[in-house]
Amino acid sequence: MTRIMKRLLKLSIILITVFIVQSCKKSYLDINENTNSATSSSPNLVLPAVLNNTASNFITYFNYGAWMAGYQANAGGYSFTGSTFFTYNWNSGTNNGLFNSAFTDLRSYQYIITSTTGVNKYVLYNAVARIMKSYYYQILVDEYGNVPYTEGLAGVDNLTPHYDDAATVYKSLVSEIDAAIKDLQTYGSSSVVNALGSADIVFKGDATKWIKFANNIKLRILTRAQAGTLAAYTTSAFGTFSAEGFLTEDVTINPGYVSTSARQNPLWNTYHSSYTGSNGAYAAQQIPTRWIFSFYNGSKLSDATRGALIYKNYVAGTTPINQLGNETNVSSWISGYPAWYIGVGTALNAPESQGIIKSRVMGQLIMPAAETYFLLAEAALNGHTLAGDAVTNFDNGIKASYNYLQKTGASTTSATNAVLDAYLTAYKTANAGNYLVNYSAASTAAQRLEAIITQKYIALNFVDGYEAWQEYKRTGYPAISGTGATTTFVSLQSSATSADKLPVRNLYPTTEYNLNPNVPTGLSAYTSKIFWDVN
Amino acid sequence: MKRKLLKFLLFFIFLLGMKASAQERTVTGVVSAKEDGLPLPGVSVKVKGTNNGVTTGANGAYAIKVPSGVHVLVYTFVGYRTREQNVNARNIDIVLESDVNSLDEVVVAAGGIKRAAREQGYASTRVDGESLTAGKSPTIAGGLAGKVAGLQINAVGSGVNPSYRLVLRGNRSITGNNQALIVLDGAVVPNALLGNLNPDDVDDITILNGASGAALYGSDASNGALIITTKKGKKGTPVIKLSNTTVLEQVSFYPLLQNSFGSGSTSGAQVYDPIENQQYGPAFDGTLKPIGRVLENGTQQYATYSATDDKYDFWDTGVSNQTDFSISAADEKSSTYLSAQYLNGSGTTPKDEYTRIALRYNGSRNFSKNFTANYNASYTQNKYDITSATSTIYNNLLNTPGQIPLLSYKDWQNTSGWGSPDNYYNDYYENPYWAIDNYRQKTQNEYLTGLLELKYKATDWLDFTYRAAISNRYYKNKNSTTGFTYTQYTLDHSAKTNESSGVSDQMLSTSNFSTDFFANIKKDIKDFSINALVGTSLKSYNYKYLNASGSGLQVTDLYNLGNITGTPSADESNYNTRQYGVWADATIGYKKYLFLHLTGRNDWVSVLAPANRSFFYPAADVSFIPTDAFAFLKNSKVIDYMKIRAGISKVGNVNVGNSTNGGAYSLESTFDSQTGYGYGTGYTPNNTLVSNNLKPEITTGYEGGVDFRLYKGLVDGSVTYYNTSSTGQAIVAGVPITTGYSYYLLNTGELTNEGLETALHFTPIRKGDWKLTLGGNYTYNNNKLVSLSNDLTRIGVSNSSTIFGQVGQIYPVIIGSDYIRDPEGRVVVDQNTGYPVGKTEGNILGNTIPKNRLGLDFQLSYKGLTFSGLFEYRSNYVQYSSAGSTYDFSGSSARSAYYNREKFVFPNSSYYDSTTGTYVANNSITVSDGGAGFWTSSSLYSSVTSNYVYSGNYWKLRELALSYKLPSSVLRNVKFIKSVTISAQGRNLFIWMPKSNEYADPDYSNNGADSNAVGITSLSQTPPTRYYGGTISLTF
Repeated sequence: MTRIMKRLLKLSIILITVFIVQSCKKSYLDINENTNSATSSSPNLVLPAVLNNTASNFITYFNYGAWMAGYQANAGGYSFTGSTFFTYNWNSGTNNGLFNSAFTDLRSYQYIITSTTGVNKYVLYNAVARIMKSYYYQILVDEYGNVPYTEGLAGVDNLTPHYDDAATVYKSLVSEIDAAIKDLQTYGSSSVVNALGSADIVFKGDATKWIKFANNIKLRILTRAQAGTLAAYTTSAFGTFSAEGFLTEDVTINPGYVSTSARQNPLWNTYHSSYTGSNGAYAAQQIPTRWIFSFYNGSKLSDATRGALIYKNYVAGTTPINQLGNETNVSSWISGYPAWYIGVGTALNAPESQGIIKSRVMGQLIMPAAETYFLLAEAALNGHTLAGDAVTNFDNGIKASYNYLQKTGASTTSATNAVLDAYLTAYKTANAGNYLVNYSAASTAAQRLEAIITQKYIALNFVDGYEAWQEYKRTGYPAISGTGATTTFVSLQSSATSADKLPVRNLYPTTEYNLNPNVPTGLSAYTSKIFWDVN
Repeated sequence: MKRKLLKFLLFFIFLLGMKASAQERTVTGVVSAKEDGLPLPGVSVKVKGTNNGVTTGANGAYAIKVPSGVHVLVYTFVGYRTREQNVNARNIDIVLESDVNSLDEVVVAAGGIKRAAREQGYASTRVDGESLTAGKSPTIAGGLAGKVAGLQINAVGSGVNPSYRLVLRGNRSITGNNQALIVLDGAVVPNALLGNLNPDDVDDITILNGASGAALYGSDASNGALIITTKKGKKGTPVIKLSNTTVLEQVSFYPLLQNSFGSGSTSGAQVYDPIENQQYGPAFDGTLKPIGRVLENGTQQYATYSATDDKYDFWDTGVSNQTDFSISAADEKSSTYLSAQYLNGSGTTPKDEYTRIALRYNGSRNFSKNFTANYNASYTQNKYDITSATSTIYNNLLNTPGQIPLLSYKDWQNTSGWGSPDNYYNDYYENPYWAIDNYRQKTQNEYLTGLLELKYKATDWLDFTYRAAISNRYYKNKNSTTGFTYTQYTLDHSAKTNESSGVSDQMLSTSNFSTDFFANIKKDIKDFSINALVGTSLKSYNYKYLNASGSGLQVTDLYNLGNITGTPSADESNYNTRQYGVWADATIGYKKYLFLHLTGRNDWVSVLAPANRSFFYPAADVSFIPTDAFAFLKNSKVIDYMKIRAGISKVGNVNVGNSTNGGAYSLESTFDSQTGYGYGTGYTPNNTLVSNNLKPEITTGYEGGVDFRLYKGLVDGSVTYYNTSSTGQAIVAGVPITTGYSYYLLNTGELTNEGLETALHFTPIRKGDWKLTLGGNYTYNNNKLVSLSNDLTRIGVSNSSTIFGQVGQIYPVIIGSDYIRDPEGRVVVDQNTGYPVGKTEGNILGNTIPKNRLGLDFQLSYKGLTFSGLFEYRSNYVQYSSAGSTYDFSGSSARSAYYNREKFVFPNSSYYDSTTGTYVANNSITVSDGGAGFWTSSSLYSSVTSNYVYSGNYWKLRELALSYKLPSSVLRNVKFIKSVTISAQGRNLFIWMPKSNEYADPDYSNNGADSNAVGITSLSQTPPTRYYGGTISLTF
């Protein structure tokens, strides 16, 4: 027995010794390396991910804009009672996604900017991130006015960032874009820096296209700001576009969407169906407005070709439509068919098609060529010589809109010039004498602007309602009147106190009021206009 | 087996009836111990006033000849209270109580070392196995509820095996763990074990309320500790126990519903709608009305337009059956205890099932006089087969108008029946029976624990202990959704849309390993005693989780990831933490009436940066026994004893993570990965910032109290006051999104707690065969969130948007919206519409943890009959029902029909009179619509948080038990059975709540046992239930 005991004693002493030796070693506790998530990354891994998120978040602005600009209304069978899209009864809890989504993506762009500033090999990544940062800041300013820019996105370094004046931010965006363009010009084809390559899921590493796209955004910014406090500034800035010119193609982000997993195109996923075939969140709840139909069915304009490319059963005349805010006798969706999908076959059996909701794997359109043409047309109208005259750009805008709609599925192949011209001719003929289609028929500058903005509004139909909404705020076009279903897109239930019964801005989110003492106070959704909103 | 038991039972009852009443000269009986009911061999039985005596045999039996005229027998045994008994029968069974509550009671203290209670300068409560299992709770946590001062136990949900949250002395940490540490046979184990150990295996539980006594168990001990000791084999003949318990579970409180109005949703009018789920239609009138739509074959369902009880009868009566078996034996050298438990049961939600198997082996061996080993192993397996969509089902139920013949929809498989999803009357809310079958969850947990303890006694005054323990959990879970494809006709003619199918499979394993080594020195020097411990301990924790899921099953009912369309999604997580500590503990006693106890521990943890990794925490306490120190008290006829104690402590608690990750990998911000796209895999920075200097939270506290016993044990009690302050709270604070981030993990803030823990028991009757003990415990706890970070005054607890920490307030509080009120607190209504004019956000609507808790218990015994019960009362707190708006939206709530759906004057309201500039009491302006237009309106009613905040106060009858131990005379002819006990018991039998609580049991917490965001109930918690049943226990 004593022998056993002694042996056990020895064993326990060994165990204890092992334990003590182990515990004294510092390495025993050095096991806190994260085995689940990366704790560091690099710009070439962050850039494609954040561009992909930008495409997904685009739907947030898309859906908001589609309500606000009169593209979509409530469908039958769903209760929207009290919805703020009906009442415009906005407070700090409304539409927070517009603010938060932008800053969420800006975090990643700022990460790229911060981690590559001064690192020459990543200069192209730095430039692209600055362009996209400017793209997002314009979105923010247009809906919120003042935002933290100089002190924003600083993480721990500034937990309560100061809000910058909106017009000043706008100017900063222009210089940021100019600087980014300069870097792209210098290093775009350099072999000493890291190429964008496959990390660029927008232009596949084409630096020149980034320069042109940057000019597009700058043009969008200057166009918006030209009538307000920045009028003088913009006039001279219009002369500072770089020689590469503008990108007149449809700008899409395509991270390589997959039809068999939760990685489908976000527009398809929300407005059509998931990869398992269940309805997208908005597929059945939303249908077109009676108002937007008036731009196709002859009530205002006649455009059966584009109507049929956008709406299910347009030709048969059975597309469900409604006036926003009307809750009696509302048509339900065509079971299995979102109104903006024109193919035949439901859920998983829905094939690729032309139109708006084309494919599960199509690139996400973030800036259509048509918009660029109409921006150029307006610039020409205002005497800025950038690329072509107003009427050419105007016509090209209409053709570009048709061209996008006629593309099938994920294809990026354009129609031939002959086809595009034939469409334009037919459109003009069908609306003969109407200056909204025939630019040369417009007799005043106001009519010309109305024609440009109205056609842009049509081209942006269910493509980018957010941009259409900002342009309405700026110009008041397309013109609305009364409360008729085809004379206005304002909700029947509007509680807005403004003259046109529409809000002019969103309010900062509650979290910002709770956590940041610098947030501007005393704002009204109906009266506190953005600086460029002078009409 | 059951039939045999029944036969035995009948036989005993027959014998009982035959019981003789004539007086005899020989008295026989069995002496047993109160705490475990086992026979006591070697008890001295004497005729009072003589030397005439016998001792009990191995089976506790005795037979003594009693001269005529003698009336009293005296039973004495070491360690037990002597009992005298009138000779009033031929058979006298005696139960001896151990000398509990005396100062020399042995309690388990740090390191699993046994100490005398007199040495302890801090509050502790001992609950013995018998008291724990009186109500036959299938879990330890359930058995402790209401029994211990300072310990708050909440069953956070209903269902077949609810989780429990155990908190001692309130919340110390804002976002970290506040739950008591669980120590099983000396080793720290995860809290989950508390719901998965067999309560019958427990010998006793010592609750160390504060950090003073618990500090040596490591940093988690700032939350107090539950020290559980399991049973060991006892010397004597082997004892075999067998028992069977059957328990029924029934809904005990149903949310208050209206039974007057049927389908309809129109504002301002009561219009019948055959397909509507909302119940704002016309009043029931008993006529025949159509429900649902016309089917493809042209048929239409009709129902009598009056309320059925189907919504109430939907819930089942759960039945569970539990069989326990144990065998124990011991000799001079070794001891063995073996136990097994099998439980299977069904819940109140139809088709919910639960089974549990538990096995335990405890043994010990003396290898020599100086060297002993203790070892034990336990295995528990539980299985759930339940629906994964409880809240959906509950929601569907509430959205079923009263006239709908809900129970007739059970058979949804029949495609031509009304229950078929195609034919079901409602477009928007599924048939709950279909939902039950469609959403299933199958879970299996296995818990394995093992412990080895070696003790070597080197000399009289020095011994060494080495202990190693593991506690592992293996978890498997499969969730399945069957899905449904509607006919084209249904799709075209209703708002129903196809439901996709899917499967998800999860596996999880955790492993806790700990070792301790310590030396114990005991030495008495003249009037002084020294008892010192020096030790080291080490803990390691491993966690692994894998989950894969996919949707769209190709082959129906084949729930396998190989059967999905598309690509499965998968994720994994792993955590590993380590900690070691060195500690010392010394107790210096003077003349056995004054003790000074000092402890110190230094921990090194892996989850903090090297610079902050090491931290030291000391504690000290004093115990003084005036009744031993002063002669005039020693001989007092009033005071049996009294102990005065005081302690002070400081404990560091690393709370940078949660119970899943143990704090691992919390020091660095992370990147979220994005996989599966054509471009490959990318990363974006996560939304949480991390301070680069995270440290432990430090809780400093002091406590003081008195334990006393008066009038020879007729009264005993204790009082403790405590006060703690926890600083350097690890908080995930919200930061403005304009920083680019949403959260920031940093150390900041202070939370204080103070309170009172008292217990008092009387024994007013202790005469002959009768004994009555009554008493209870009362706890008062008040805390305050003193500060957060510089620019933060409010923080969402666990990111909750309802439960907050607010500086200057009790923690936690409900913050939400309330109506705009006038200076007198009346709701301001519009002079024209009668509707409230608006609401304000950010109002503090009350604290969610009771300030007062009272437990009242009694035990009445007469011979073998024992009747006991336990009431619990909690008050001064509120709860929020997140389900409340569903009740009103659906129109099923009783409150939506208070005014009979007619226009009513908003209670306690006023309107602003612009001519006088004052608020005028509103007695006449009614709301424009008393129906759907008001109750379902989010701005007018259903999104106003204060409408769903209600008092959490309650009285509960927690336990009631009646047990009868058959007299030994009855068993004389069945030699192999030593004792038989039959009992009936109930738990949570009744709950009494104020009228304002229309919803649920205030113990429930929607956020689960591990979340500090308590105070919310939702539809995930089915209605509260009561349990009642019976047990037969046999000892062989």
